[in-house]
Amino acid sequence: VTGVARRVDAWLFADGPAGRLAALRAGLAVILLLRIATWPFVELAGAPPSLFRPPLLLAWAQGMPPAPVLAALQVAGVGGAVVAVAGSWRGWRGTAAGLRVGWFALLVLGGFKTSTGKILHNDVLLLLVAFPAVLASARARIGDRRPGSGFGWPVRVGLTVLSLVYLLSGVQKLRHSGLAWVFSDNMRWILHDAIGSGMAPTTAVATALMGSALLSTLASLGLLAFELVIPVALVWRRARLAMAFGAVTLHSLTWLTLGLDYWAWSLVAALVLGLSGWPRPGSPPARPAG
Amino acid sequence: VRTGATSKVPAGSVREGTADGGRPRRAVRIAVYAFLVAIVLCGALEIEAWPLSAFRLFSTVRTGTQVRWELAAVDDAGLETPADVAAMGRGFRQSVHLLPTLAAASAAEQDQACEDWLEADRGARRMHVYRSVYVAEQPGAPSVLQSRAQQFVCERP
Repeated sequence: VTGVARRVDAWLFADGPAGRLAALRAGLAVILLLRIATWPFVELAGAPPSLFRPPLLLAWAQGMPPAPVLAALQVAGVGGAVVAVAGSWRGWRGTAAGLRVGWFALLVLGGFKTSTGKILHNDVLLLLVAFPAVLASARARIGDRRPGSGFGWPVRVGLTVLSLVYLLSGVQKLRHSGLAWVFSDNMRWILHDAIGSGMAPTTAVATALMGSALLSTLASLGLLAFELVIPVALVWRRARLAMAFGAVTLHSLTWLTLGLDYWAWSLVAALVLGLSGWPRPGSPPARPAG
Repeated sequence: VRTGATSKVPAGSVREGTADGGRPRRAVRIAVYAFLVAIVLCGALEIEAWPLSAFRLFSTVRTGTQVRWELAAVDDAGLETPADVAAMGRGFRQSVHLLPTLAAASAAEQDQACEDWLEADRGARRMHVYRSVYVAEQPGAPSVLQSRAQQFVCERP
């Protein structure tokens, strides 16, 4: 057990290039920026206390904050994300702080968004995968090829978190439904309900899948297999780009058939799997880049 | 924020626990492991603690029988229609998901929620909350109401 733990620790905290951490920060900051800037959080201000159900993290709140507070959080979050993006290119000292501000703003705003009756997972993957990058204090700049454990672990831990999230989603399907999740009319009924909800941009894809027992079973199988197999990306570097493609395909199909807004999941998966799966740069130069 | 600082980052070997890319401090490593364990525990024990989650995304098998909780608005003429929670504002949009909890809550909590829905929908005189069961014979066939049980009602004073 000690040997395994030691190997896991050595893998998680192995060296990585500084530029990769900077690219991770920049990518996460762009996604944070988009999530914070494109949703009308201010409109939550009218939620009455009787319908306010905050998560544990926001249990201190008596009700939905007033619009100016939500707007201030949004502005701060956008500002922090912009600093993190620009700082990753320029190697600014405030890059990590900017990312922390953006992350914290979305954590709180998303928490309030999920306080209105339903647990919303749209921002969860971003917040969880970004947490290691938020913890990291190493200064890095895009293009910087210096190696170091302090540069490598946020990417590796982020990849581990990503894999765990998808794996848990798959395991829960098996736990609560068993193989019937795949080998029953489950997917056809999901698509039936989705068509009835009218949320998807088109019903053509859902109708085509629902109309064929074979296609809908293959879709279920593909989805579940992806969720269960993605941890392979932790040990098989070459699989990462294929997994990134798989994640983007999965969430694009989810949007096309169910109308669910999971584009942030696509971007996060593509970023983390893409960055860690990209061919290693050549030997590090003797002097830091820049 | 200071620009152009990268050139001042020392070259060569990295130091423990510094911003120069050295091995992270022990506290950071402990936080990383605690975070990973928390993710696994929330999944295993099915705890929802934003942003940690059990990730029960579509985990239950769907069938042709669907239970829906419905909020209906009744106007002055007695006409009953599905309450338009989307029109009430962002803060109300997901409130239909609270109906099962509210059905089991105290009368005072139900009254307060109703009062807020009625305040947001000025055209409604009463609100009815139902637990309905719809059945469809096969995917793609229309869902037919099989049963409907009224859970609670409230009226504008």
